[in-house]
Amino acid sequence: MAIVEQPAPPGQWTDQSRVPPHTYPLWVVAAAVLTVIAALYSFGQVQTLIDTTGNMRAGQTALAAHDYATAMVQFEAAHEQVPSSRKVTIYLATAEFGAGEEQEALALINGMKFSRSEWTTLTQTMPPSIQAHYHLTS
Amino acid sequence: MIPGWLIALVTFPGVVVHEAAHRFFCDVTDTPVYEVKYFQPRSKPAGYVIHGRPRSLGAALLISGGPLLINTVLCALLTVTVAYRIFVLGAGIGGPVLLFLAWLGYSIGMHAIPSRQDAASFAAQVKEARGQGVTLLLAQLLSGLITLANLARFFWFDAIYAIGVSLAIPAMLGAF
Repeated sequence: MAIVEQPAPPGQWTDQSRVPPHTYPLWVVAAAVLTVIAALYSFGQVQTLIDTTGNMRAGQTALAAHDYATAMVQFEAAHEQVPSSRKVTIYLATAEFGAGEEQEALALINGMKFSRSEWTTLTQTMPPSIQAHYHLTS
Repeated sequence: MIPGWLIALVTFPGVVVHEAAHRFFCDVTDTPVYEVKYFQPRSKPAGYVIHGRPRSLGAALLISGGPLLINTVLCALLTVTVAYRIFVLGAGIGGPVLLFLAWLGYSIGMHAIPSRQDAASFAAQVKEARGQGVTLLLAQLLSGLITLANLARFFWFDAIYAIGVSLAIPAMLGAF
């Protein structure tokens, strides 16, 4: 909030009461430095995330072309970069099912619950015999 | 309904950056500053800067709109990793460092919009500078937008704005 000076009685808010310009409390300077470091750190992570997205996109293209070996390589690279990415995990498992590596795929999705769209992705390649082990819950 | 002072308390880095931005642009435009409160918990306003009359409409615009610029840029930079992970890759926040970045970034972003008082101060300057054509028209439009954005705070527009800003860099990089 910025409050503009209103006409004040003479003698008040003279230049003597002016806060010296470009002087900030130490804690504000420290907080500013910390914030800038945090911003730089955050921005520094972007390249990895761009690479991960690139690998994921390349994997999706290969998956759409039923080139499961290439898709697996791309998704594995993305999975290594951001292991907690749910999206990449689902795609990698889909590629592994497509490549016939069912045990690896099942190990990857072990204990997970899926949304409808995730299930749609997985069942593109998941054998019906494995699908039968999963149940729909609301 | 969550009280404003509680929101300000939780998102206090945003208040500090908002006031520091006003202060910074006062200094840059050689506008005298008489009093600054970067943050005062459980008070309304949570922070303020009392300054002299800016020399020009441009200076008034910089002082009133400074937080919009500084808080928005910082929010975009601080939250880019978190936004990318959550909205593009479907990954969690992933650890205390990123949680801290998310809190700091979204807190700062939530205080980007100039306050009603900022809009009122700016509107007063605009009124004084009557008859400056396009500049005046743009200034009035901006003043109106700030007022509108403040009214929309009732619908958590400040939080929606922060989330929108956090998605800006991933969107510019073609992540969506």
